Amino acid sequence: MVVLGSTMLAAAGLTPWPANAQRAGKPYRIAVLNDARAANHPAANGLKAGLREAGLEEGRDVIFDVRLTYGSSERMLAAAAAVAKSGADVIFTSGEAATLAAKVATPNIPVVFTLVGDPMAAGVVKSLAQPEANVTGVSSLTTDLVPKRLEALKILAPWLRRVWAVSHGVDPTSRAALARALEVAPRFGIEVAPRDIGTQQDLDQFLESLRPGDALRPGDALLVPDIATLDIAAVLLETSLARRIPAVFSSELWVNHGGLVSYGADYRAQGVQGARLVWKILRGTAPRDLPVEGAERVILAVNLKTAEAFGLAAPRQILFRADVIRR
Amino acid sequence: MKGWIARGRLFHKYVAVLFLLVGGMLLLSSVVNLYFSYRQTKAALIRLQRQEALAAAGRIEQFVRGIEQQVRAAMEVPFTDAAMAREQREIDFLRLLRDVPAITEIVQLDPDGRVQLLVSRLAPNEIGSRRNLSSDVRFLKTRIGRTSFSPVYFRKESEPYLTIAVPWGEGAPEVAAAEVDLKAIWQVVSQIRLGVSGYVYVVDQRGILVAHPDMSAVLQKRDLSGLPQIRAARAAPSASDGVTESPGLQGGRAVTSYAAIEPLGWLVFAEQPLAEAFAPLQGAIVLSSIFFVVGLGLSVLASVVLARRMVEPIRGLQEGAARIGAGELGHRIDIKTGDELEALGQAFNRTAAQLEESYASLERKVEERTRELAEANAELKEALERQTATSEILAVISSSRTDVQPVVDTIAANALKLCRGQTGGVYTFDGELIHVVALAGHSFSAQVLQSLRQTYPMPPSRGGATARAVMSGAIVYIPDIREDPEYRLQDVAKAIDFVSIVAVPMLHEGMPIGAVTVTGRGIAAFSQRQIELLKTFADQAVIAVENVRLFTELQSRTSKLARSVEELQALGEVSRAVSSSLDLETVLATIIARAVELSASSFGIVYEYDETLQEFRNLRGAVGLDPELAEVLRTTPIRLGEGVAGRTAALRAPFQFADVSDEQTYDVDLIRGQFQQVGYRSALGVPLLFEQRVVGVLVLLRKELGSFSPEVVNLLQTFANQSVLAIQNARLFREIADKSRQLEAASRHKSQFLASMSHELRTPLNAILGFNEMILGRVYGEVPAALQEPLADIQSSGRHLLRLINNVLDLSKIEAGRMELTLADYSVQETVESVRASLHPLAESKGLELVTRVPAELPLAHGDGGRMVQCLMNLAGNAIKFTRRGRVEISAELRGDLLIYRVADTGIGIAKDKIDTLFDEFRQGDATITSEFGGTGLGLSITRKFVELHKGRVWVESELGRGSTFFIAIPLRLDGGTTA
Repeated sequence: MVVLGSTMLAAAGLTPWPANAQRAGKPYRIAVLNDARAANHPAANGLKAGLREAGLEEGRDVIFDVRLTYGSSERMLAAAAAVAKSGADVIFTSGEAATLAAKVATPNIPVVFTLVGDPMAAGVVKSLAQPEANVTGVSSLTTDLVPKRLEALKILAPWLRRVWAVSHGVDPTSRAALARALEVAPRFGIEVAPRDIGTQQDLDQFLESLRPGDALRPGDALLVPDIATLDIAAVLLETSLARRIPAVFSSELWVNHGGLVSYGADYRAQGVQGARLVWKILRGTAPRDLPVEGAERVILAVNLKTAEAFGLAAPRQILFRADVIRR
Repeated sequence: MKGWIARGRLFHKYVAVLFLLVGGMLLLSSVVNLYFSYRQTKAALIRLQRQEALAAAGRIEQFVRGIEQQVRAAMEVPFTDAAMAREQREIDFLRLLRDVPAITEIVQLDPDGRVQLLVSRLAPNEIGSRRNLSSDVRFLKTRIGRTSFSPVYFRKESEPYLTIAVPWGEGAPEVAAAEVDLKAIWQVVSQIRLGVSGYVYVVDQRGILVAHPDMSAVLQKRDLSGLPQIRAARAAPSASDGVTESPGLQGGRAVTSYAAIEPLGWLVFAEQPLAEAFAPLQGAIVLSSIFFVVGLGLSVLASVVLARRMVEPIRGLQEGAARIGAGELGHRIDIKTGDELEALGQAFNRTAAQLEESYASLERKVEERTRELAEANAELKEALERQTATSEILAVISSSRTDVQPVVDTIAANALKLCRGQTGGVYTFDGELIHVVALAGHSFSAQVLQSLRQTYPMPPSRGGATARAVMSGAIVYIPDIREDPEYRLQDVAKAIDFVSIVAVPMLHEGMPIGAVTVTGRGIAAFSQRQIELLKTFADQAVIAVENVRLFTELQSRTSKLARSVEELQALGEVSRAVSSSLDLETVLATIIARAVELSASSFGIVYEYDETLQEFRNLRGAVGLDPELAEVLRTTPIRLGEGVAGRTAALRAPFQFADVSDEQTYDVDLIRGQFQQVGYRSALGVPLLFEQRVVGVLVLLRKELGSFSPEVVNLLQTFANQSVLAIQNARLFREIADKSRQLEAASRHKSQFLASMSHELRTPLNAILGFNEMILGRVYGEVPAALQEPLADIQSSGRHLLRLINNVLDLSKIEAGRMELTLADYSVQETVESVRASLHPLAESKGLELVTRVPAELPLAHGDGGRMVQCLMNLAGNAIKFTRRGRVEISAELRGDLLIYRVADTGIGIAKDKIDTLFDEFRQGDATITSEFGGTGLGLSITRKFVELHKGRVWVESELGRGSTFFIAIPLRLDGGTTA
């Protein structure tokens, strides 16, 4: 009879209806923080798309406050601080630098990260299942995927001898990935050569040296890091294509631009996945109740045209496994 | 206000009843409806949920099975060649990885548990690595040839995974095991919606959340095993009841159903928030409520309307009836409802019309009656007045029995009041004169009183009304005294100021004893009725007078009676005293005391008369006497004719001295002087006569002068008689006492004489007998034959004489009280035998039979055996003596404690009249018997004495000519000595 009673109460309208997507009053403010030089970071786009799916129209229901930092860490910190003061409802970050900056800048405003390869190693969270602070997000699983990236290279270029593991010094993910690479290298019978790029100069230097007769030897390949700083990936792609050096990327994005092979989670997809978390936070869930999610879909993409250009035959192993084949 | 309430109550009642009725029904039906709706909804909901849960379970199982199948399919290669098979499989596995995002890794183990093939999204692929996984669960669990599903495990403590190990091939199978990322199930689960916010979630065997629409919840690796619905489901996985009111995972309360995924051991829960679950009910409730409210409203309305309709005519009736009842008989009730109420209204109207009619005639009648009643009332008032007066007088009569005055006063007053007269008066007639005893009037001036005093008392005459009435014994009514020629008391009339007068005589047994008279101011002031009333008063006055007289008489008689009683009592006491004491002094004292008391004297004396000396001596029984006077009286003899006593004795009649100090009358100077000294003034003497002779005189003295009343004298005379008796009795008693003493002395002398004489007699007799015996014994020589007989005679005569003397001695001893029994045990048999032996020769000589009969078992007796022998000898001897022929029987028997001796003979018998004296001394039947039979006559008396000493009895039964039987009955045992 209690049930009946409470039902009757509900009927009388004394229990609140489920919250409407449309919020009466002011729209949500979401700050977007990443390394990009432009406002169309694919993760951010994914975020917007995801929120749109939930019924939040940009401008009406939600305002995106995009901070461009041009890859500068100083600018990043300043932007993080400004964002913290700006009264945003959520800070959406991509990449470790932005995430860490945001985490440092505010202990209160919820932060949702994407494109963080190894959140625990990066010090973003202590536990994936239970974030202890105001930070949660989507992990791009870099550390987990590094072995498969090396494997993909090996499958495509069986004569692979050495892989340049490029990393960005201050990036803990890169370091963790590097460690993993070194770990699995013997299995493939390859050597992993770490190359830390600290500055633009370092990058230029490295690229310069990648010539036959110089640093480049037959059986070399590139392991492109999973970051956006310095557009390292773009430059390495260029170099890879130009000198016909096999390279494995972390995102399908690069394969679409000619990269040989990629194995990783799509940036935009991570943004959409992150939007789900943002929406939950906007509706009142605390970040510590939202475990860090691994990127949902890890895609093996291969560019056959590039393979052909490099004189590589894509074996069936790749062909039957690849999620995306570009011709 | 009251009218309003009265009007409203019925109305309100109806309204309330109807409303309650309808409202109640509505409420009831709504509630019942709702309840059943709720139940139905709940049942439906649970059913639905279960369906959803089952469906979800099915899909999830389908999903997992699907992967299993795909894995199995991937193992199928059309190549028998191991290498080719492996290559094919590699392709298939890779394809699986590509096509099924849920599969993270597939491994193929050969029958030995070594890795043949491994493809993974995360781990490096292995091809023919032959890594030994034979102790891995994937290998072990599939040995039985069935697909094994591992428990859910979490990677990085966050991501749930499931291992599906599929055995492949007969015999020792190979194994293909796939790692399934259970986040994929999220897809399945998140698509299922129950209602608006209902959903499905899955927990594994341990109760840990495995799939949920909210991925974050799953990634938290939540343990839900504590929730009641989880517990219930785990307890009864195949039950189909839902669990209502479980805590929802999102908070709040929810309705939950579940289904089990058997192979995996998972439970699928379909949950819907409580409020939402029962939302359908909402509508019903709202509708019910609205309906209910509307219904209530309608019912209120309906009840009001109905009630009004019902109440209006009733009210009309009520009002109409009220008005008719209040007296508006012309009012008519107008109700046109066409039903019983209208009929009722008509009835009321008819009643009203009838009432009007009868009311009119009634009024007339009432007027008549009222007039009559008023008249009757007036009469009654009068009568009441009279009754009151009469009863008042009666009351006074009954309350004052001894005094006439209050009665006549009341009569006079009432006569005055009721006749409305000037004066009212009551007069008495003593036979000669008429007296005024009561007079009532408004005021009596000195003049009036004076004139009355002059007039009364007056003899009966015709001059005054009262006087005339008394004289004639008839009512005298003078309407106007001025017109009455015989009237003489005009001055009285003027003084009192009356013109008319009525006098009613008081007649007692026809004789006038007084009158009641009333005077009136006006002419003919009295009605017949008033005169009647006066008659009544007169009668009452007579009654009163009579009453007083009777009462007074009664009183005097009563006091006389009391006095008589007193005297009788005194007399009785005296008689008792007399008869209770033989002591002359006491008796006389009592007599004198009573006499003094009753005569109210000071003291009394009884004199005894000595006839020879003709004087009074022996002053007896003086009570209350002064000692000096007593001395004088005692020593001074009074001769016949002197003093009180003397005169009384001489007269043989009571005599009084009214004044003893008078010399003329009282002539015993000495005594007179003494009397004077002490103060006695009057005296009374009463003779004590016995058979016409003067025995004495009772004298009473008083300190008062005057004579004693005749009653007292009579009383004392009676006392005197009593006293005489007493004196005589006492005397006789004294004589008897003397005589007895003399007798006793004589008897004693006799016994003594007998005793000594016997002794004196016996001594020489013994000598005679002794010597005779010696002579007969030839002690003194031969005895000549001629002397033999005479000597023998001498002997027997002497013996006889001795016996007589012995008997006499015995008797005297017994009588002197000196006989003693010698008590000892003795045998009855021996006693009887010795008697028989002794008497045998005698019996034989007479030719008589002598028998004895004693029972052998007779116990020993205790008594004086010797004396008993003597008694028996006496009785038996007598028996033999007095029997001419036949037999004598001596017997003894025991009856209880008594020993009975019997001596029976067939002798001459004893005459009845002689039996009485038989046992007396010196008696026999008669002289002739003595001569024939001899004997002293002492035997039986001695026998009796002895038997009596034995505490026994002796008697005889006899018939003349037929024989006698003597009985002795004594106690068998006389234990203890007795002294006669």
